[in-house]
Amino acid sequence: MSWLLEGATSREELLELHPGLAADHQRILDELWQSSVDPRILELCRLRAATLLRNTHAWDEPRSPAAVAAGLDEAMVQSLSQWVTDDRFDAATKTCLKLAEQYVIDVHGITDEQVAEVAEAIGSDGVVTLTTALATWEISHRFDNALLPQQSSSTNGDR
Amino acid sequence: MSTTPRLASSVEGKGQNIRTVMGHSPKVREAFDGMYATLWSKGEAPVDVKELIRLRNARVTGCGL
Repeated sequence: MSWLLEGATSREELLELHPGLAADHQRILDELWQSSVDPRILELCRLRAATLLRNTHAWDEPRSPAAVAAGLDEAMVQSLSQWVTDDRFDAATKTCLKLAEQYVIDVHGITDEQVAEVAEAIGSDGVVTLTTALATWEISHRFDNALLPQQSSSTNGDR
Repeated sequence: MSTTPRLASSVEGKGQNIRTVMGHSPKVREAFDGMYATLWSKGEAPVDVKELIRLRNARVTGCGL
């Protein structure tokens, strides 16, 4: 059970304990999904960060409607851990996933060249949007890990 | 780690800082600023405790700003 709200199983239920913050959080999500960055890239980065931070809740909740509407390929989602060698992931997506992984694992290891590559792929506005999205996803994943009931890793596989 | 901003300022005539860099994506920045303001102005935790948490988080994550 959650430490904060008996019976709570989702982030949304817990955020409603602080409605103002929940509204602000939702506004950020809305702006991110409506931004210039391909929502399929954002969703893949969100899920990749979830895996690295071991948040299985993010994998079990519905995929981003914006990403699905843009044509998110669930087969690619299921192959996300192999993105480096999987040719279905295009160059822009790989560049963003590389930044997402570096952001989560060692943010100080991000290089000038890496940021320049991302800017080349999705523009300066895209870099700002993507890094803000990564910060937002990291908050969500850590929030889930800290406050939601933990799920058995054996039932969720290595995603 | 970079010692200078990696993106240009979005505001002509103004230097690079977190606000002018985030200005490349103004709607996202506005939304982020909104949540940041709520974190400081609402809730039960005293502001001095929030500041201590912010500084401790900055130390742990190696943020020198």
